[in-house]
Amino acid sequence: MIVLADQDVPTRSASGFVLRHVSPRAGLMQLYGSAARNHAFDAMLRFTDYLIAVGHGTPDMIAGQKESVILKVNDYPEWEAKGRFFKLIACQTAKELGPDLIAKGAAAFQGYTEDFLWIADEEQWDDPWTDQLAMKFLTPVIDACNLMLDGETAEGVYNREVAGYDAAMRNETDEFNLSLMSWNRRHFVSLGNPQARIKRRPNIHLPFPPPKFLPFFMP
Amino acid sequence: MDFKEVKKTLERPPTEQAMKEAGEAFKEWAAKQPKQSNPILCRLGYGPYPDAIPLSKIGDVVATNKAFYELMQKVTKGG
Repeated sequence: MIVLADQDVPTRSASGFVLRHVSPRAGLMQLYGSAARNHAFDAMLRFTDYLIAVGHGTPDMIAGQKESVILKVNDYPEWEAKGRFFKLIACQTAKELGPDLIAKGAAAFQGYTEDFLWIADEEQWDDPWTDQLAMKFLTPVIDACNLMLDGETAEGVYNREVAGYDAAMRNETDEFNLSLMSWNRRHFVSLGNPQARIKRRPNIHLPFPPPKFLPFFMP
Repeated sequence: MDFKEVKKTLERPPTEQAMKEAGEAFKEWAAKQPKQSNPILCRLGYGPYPDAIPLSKIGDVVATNKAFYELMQKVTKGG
């Protein structure tokens, strides 16, 4: 399933790219915006073998919308980890939450040991998937998410994201952007079984973008 | 100002003076960036610094927030 927070510029930017390029493949198994909260998450996760989530993170937890904790070390039932492939687009969750999920039986975990950083254009807040600034930072992650839904192994998904950063860095001339890309690449990790994979999902691309986001008024 | 010069200002320990000078360097660099958009440094985490900082304000945060100065030190050191 896919969980996408969207309460501020960073979550809107990252969630926007997942919404445009990955979500069509997940069918009804997704929680977006104000629906991205823990009670709905707990109810839906049992029906799926993976989680792709965008939200604010700390070493031991990831939140959905606002402060709603989706997963926190020692505060979720073990069945939520069992056999699943987790890909968390959040800061620092690979420090403690990732190892905890693996210890509780997750097949694979991919995330970041430090802050995940990128540049977005605030003027694109209502159609973030058109943001050319953010695109070069987030394309490696989006490509990796799609490869995960193609049924590729965790190792293959990891290698695709790293190769995506390398390609982005080769094409980047701005020194600050290069530093940020290199930072994300250095702190991206894959834990668990490198051969783990999920069931292949249909490769669906929407020919048109989602409707523009509503203004910031969600609860 | 070239970003390589900004990186140099981040090489010192986070004293008040070093942070102030790095902040000034960031401001000077940001002022020379293209103006066709409103770029913001984003992250998906919590404190001790904002999760969305306009490029034009990075200098202010570097100059006043030790944790952010140290983050920028680490970010620019490896890349």
